[in-house]
Amino acid sequence: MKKRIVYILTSLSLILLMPSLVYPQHDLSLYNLSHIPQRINQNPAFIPEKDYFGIPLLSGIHLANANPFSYNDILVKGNNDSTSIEIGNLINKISKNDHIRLYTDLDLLSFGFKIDHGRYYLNFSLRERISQDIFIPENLCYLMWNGNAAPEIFAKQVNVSPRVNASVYAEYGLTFSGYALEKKLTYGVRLKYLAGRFNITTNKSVFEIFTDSNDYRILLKSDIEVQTSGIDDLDTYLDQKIGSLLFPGNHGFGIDLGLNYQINENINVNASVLDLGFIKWRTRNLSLVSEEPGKEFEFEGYKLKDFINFLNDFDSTGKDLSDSISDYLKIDNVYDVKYKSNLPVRFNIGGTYTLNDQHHFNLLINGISWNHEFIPALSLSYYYNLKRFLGLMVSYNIFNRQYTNFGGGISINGGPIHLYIVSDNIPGLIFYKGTNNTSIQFGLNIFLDWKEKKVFGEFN
Amino acid sequence: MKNISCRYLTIIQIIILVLLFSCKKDFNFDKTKDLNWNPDIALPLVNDSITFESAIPIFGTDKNFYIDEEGNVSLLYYFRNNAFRILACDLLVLPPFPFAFNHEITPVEQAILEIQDLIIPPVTFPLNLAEDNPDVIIDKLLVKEGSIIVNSDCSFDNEGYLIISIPNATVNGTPFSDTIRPFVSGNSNDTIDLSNVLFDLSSGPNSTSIQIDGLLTKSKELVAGDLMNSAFNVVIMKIGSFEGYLGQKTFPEIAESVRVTIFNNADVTGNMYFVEPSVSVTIVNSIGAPVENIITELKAFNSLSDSSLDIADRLGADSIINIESPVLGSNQSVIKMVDYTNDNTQNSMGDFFNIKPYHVFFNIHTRLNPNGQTMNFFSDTSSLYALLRVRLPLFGHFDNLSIQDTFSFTIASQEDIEFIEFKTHIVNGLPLQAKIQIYFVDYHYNILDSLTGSDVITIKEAPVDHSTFLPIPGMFGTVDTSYYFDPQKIKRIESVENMLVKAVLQSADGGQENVKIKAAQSLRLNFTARLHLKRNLEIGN
Repeated sequence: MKKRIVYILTSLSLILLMPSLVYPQHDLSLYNLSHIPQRINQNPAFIPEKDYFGIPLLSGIHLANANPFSYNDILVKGNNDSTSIEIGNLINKISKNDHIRLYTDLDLLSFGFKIDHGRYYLNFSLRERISQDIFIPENLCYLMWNGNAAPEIFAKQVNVSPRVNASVYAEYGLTFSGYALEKKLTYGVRLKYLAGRFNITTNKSVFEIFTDSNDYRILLKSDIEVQTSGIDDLDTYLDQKIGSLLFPGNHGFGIDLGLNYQINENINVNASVLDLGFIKWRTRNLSLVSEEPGKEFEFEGYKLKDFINFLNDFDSTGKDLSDSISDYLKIDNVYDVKYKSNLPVRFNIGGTYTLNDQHHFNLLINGISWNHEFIPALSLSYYYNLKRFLGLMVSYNIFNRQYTNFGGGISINGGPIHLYIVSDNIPGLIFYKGTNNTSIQFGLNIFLDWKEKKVFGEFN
Repeated sequence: MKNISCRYLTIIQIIILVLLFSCKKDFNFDKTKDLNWNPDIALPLVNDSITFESAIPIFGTDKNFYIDEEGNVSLLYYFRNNAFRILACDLLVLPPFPFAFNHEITPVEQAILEIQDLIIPPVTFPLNLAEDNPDVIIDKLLVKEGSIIVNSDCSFDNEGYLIISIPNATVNGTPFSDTIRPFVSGNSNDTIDLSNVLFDLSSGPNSTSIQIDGLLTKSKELVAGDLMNSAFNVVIMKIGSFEGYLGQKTFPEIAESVRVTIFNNADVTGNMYFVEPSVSVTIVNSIGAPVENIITELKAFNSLSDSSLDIADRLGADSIINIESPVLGSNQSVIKMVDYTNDNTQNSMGDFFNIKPYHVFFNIHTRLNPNGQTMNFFSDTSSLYALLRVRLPLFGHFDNLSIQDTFSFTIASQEDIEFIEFKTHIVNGLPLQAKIQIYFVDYHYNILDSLTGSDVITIKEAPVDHSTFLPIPGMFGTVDTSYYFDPQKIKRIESVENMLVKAVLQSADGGQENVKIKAAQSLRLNFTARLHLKRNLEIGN
C-alpha cells in the first residue's frame, strides 16, 4: 500500500512538471548509463541487458532547455521585491548565441527482447518527437529595441529576419541488434517510419534594412521562402478524423546506425549516427514566398505633416509605419506545394575505460547537424555499476557554449521495476535562474526477465 | 532492496515537489517594474522637388502664368470679364413707326352693304426703317422680336376684317400678311407678331410700305357716317440679322483694367525689374464690318503711391488697331492682337512697370467702317470686344523680394521625445538666392520661437551664365542645415498653430544681374528627421 502510494505521488509530480518545458537533446549522460534500456535510442548497438517493457507515456520523458540567456539575465530582482526586465542583457546574450533550440522526445510505447537465445535483440518504440531551431538575429533585437539609428545597425546593411525550423512527428522504430566478431562487436540498426504532423522549414530568410547615414533613406530588400505543413488553419486541426490525426499523410523514413567494439578487457569504443532521414510533407501545406525576391524597395518616408502626426501619436502612426513596411514585403501565400525536410542528424563517438565491473570512465563526443549548422558537445563521466540493482553516474558536460554543466544519473532496479533519472546539468535544476541549460530525463520500465541471471552477451 | 528502491522514489518525489512550488513564486510578475524603451529612430521625410510653377502660389500671386515651347515662364494677367462688349443691339436701333388708318362709311357704301359685301380699298403707308439712322442702308433685316400694335375705335360691329400686308416682307419665305377681325364697336387692341419677318429691301434700301385693306360683310346696320379709326405702331425691338451698311458709327470708349497682383501683395515687397514686359490688346470682331480701334489710354496705376503713367501717346502707329470684317456666312470671328513691348513703345514698358502698377487701364475708341461704305452685316450674337493682357516674362533682376507664407503646424508636447533633429539638404536650381527665417507662431501670430534662432537659412542661387542669363548646367546652389529640438524647445512651441516662413529673394550678383526663370528649374528639398524617444512600457500592475 505504502509502495503504491509512493509510486502514484511520484507519477503525479512528474505530470505536474510537464507543462513547464522547453528542450534540447544531446543526451550525454544517458549515453553511458548501461542499466537504462532507452540507451538503445542513442546507439542501436547498445543492447539492453534485459528484456523490458516501458510504461506507456512514462518510460522516457525528457525535460530540458538550451537558451542564449538565463532567467537571471533578463529578470533582475530589486528592492521591495520588485523585478526589472533587462532587455539589454537579453540582447547581449543573443548577440553571442542566437539560437533557441528545442528537441523533445516522449516515449509513448517501447519494449525490447532478445531472440534466438540472446543472439539478437529486437526493440520497438513509438515516440512523439519535436525538433525546433529558432534563429533570432541580434540585428532584429537592435532594430526593435534601439531603433534603426542605433550604432550597431545604422548605415549598415543588416538582415533582421528570424529563421524558424521545426518539426513535430511520430516515430515508429524497429531496432535490430546483434553480435559479431566473437562478441567483440555489437551492431544495431533502427528502421523508422515517420508520420509528420507539423513542419516549418525556412529555405530563405532575408529581410535586409539599410539606413543611409546622410539622408536617412531606408532601403528594404526581402527574399523569404518558408514552407509549412499543418500550420495553416490550426483552429480546425483537431476537427480531422482520428485516422488523419494519427497518420496525417506526411510520410517519412529514417535510419539509425550504431556500433560498439570491445578493443580489450578495459577499452571499448562506440559510435552511432542517428536520424538519417526525411519527411515528405504533402498535406495542409502553405508556403510563404516573397513576391519579388531580392528586389530593393525604398521607404519613401513621411511628409512633414504626417511626421508631425507621428510625433503626436506614436501608437497609431507607428502601426501605420509598420504596416507600410509590411506592405513592402509582399508575401504570397502558395498552397499545396509538396516538399521534403531532413531530420537533424546526431553523431556520437565514445569510448569507455573499464577499471573493473564497478568502475567505468567514459568520453563522449556528440554533435547535431541541422540546417547547415553543427552543434557539438563533449562529456566526461564516471559510472559506478552495482550490477542488477544500481547504476550511478557523475559527468562533466560541455554544450550550448556553457562550460559549467555537471550532470549525473541514477538507475535503480527494484525487482521488475526500473526507475532512472538522468540530468546533463544538475546545478541547473537547482539554480535554474542562473543557467542557460537545464535537463532531466526520467522513466519507468518493467524488466520482463529480471529473475534470469544472464551474463552480458552469453548465448548458445 | 525493495525498501531501498521505495525510499529512493520517495526522496525523488519530494525533491520534485519542492522544485515545483519554489519556482512558482518566481513567475509572479505583479511587481515587475515598467520597461524603459529608448530607441533612436532615423526617418526620411518625403523628398520634394519644387519647380517654379509649383512655387508661384507661395509668392502670393494668382496662378496665371504662361510657359512657352522653350520653357520660358511668364506671369500673365488678363481681364476675364466679357461684360463690356459692343453688341448687336448697340449697332442699330430702330424707332417705332406709327401711322393711322381711318375709314368712314359713305351713303353709297351703305347702299352696297345692304345688298352685298363691300371691299375696303387698300391704303398704303410708307415705312422707312432707317428713319432715325440717316447713314444706315438696310438691304435686309430680319426681325427677331417685333410687333405691329393696333388700337382701334369703331362705331359699328361687323364680321368683316382688315388685312395688313407688307409687300417685301416674308416669313419663312411666305409673303407677310395678317388679318384683324371682326370689327367690334368701341375700343379694341390687336397685336401682330413680326418675329422672323424678313424685310428684303435690296431693290430699294431702307424703304418699304404697309398696305391695309379689308372687307365689310353685308349688313343693314351700317349707315353712312360710321367710322373706323385704327392707330398702328410698328415696333422692332430686336434685330435678328442685318445686311446693308451701318455708317461710320463710333462708340463710347471701351475701358477696362487688369489687376496686376505681383506688385501689390501684402506678402510680397521688394524691387523687381522685368526686362521684357509686354502689354497686349486683342480685338475680337464678329460684327460684319471693318472696325478701327484707337488706344486712347494705356495707363499704369499704383494706388498706394498714387503714381500713374499713360503711354498711349508713345504707341505711335500701333495705337491704331484696324480689324477686318469677318466673311459673310462664316462663324469665325476676326481676331487681331497687338503686343506692346519696348520695341514699339519707345522703350516705355520699363517705365510703365517701374511704377509697380496695381492696375493697368486701357481705353479704346472704336469706329465702324473707317474707310466708308462697304458691305456690313451682323446677327443677334455678333459683338466686338477687347482683351487686355499683361505679360511679365520672368527675365529680369529682383532685389529684396520679400515674401512670406504660413503653414499649419502643431506639435503636442511629448514627454516621450528626448530630442528631435531635423536635417535638410537643399539643392537650388533657380538663379535666385533665398534667405529664409522660420517662425513658430500661435493663433494670433505671436512669435513663440524660431527654427533658426537669430540666424537665417541662406540658400545660394545656382550660378548664372552671363550670356544666356540661365543657370550653368549641372551647377547648383546647395545648403545643408540641421536643427535640434530638445524637450525645452518642444515645450516652448506646444501652443504653436502655424509656421511662418519669411524669405528674401534676390537674383544673382546682389539682385543686379538679370536672370531668366524657366519652368524646369527646381528647388530640390531633402528632409530627414532623427528622434530619440524615451518611453515607459507598463508591465506589471
